[in-house]
Amino acid sequence: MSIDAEQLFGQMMTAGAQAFGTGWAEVEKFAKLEFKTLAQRIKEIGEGLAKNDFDMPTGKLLMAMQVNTAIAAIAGATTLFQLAVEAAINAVLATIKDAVNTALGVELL
Amino acid sequence: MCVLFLSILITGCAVRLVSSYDPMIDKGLTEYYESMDVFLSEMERASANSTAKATFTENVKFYEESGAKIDALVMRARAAEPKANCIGSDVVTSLAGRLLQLKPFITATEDLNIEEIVKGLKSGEEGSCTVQILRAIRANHDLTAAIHKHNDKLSKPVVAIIRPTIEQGVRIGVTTELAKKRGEK
Repeated sequence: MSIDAEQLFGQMMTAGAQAFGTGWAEVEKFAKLEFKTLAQRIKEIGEGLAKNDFDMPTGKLLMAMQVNTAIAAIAGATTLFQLAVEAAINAVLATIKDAVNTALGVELL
Repeated sequence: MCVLFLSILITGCAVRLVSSYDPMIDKGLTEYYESMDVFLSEMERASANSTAKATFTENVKFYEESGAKIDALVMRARAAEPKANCIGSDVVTSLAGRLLQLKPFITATEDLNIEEIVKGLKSGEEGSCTVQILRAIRANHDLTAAIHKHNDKLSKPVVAIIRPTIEQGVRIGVTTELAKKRGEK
């Protein structure tokens, strides 16, 4: 069995970029680290099977663990994206608040 | 939209799209990783020495107790955001399938049906992203138990895959939890 980890990693990053669209820049660094680790481990499972380090049912269960971890990585990236959006909204609101209060000369907001 | 915007301005509240930092989840995940790390080392050693301690039946209680601790964290995360959905839920489901279509990358072994594995897994269910991360950690805990049961031991090559997998899941959970501090110390 042979798994090309670099090719798999590239496909993960492409799929991630498509799924997150314009928000990808916010999570790319996080996703890059997690996807690279995942791709490498998937390769190691393939190598372990080839060397008979474990049997096929064990290999399938180990692979299922990587799917779960991929889901966790995407959910984690989504959280970081949501936090970035939240920070942007609050920065805009703070600017408006300051502008209004300054213009009126009182703490209206 | 305008009403919402104005009401936010008038109330002067900051917008929150994600729940607050929960130190119990941070602490709970760190403690879970510590206990699993020690457990995996013990199992690896017991397996190498072929002692009775290595068998699955000897360790059922550990799996149940540590699994219950993750369940408690899931419950806590659900309580913090009872109506939340991870915005990426649909993305999570579709992307997981797409990302792990490994067929083009695998040669010489047709038995490893990745699509079947992906289809068989639950994903994208209701709950915040934190809930989904914790559920993934819980699922990997159960898969570790399933591997242990199947082989009646956890050998060194198996632990070499399981340990970093569990570490990665916990790291994702802790990283996102710490990010919720939003610059606070």
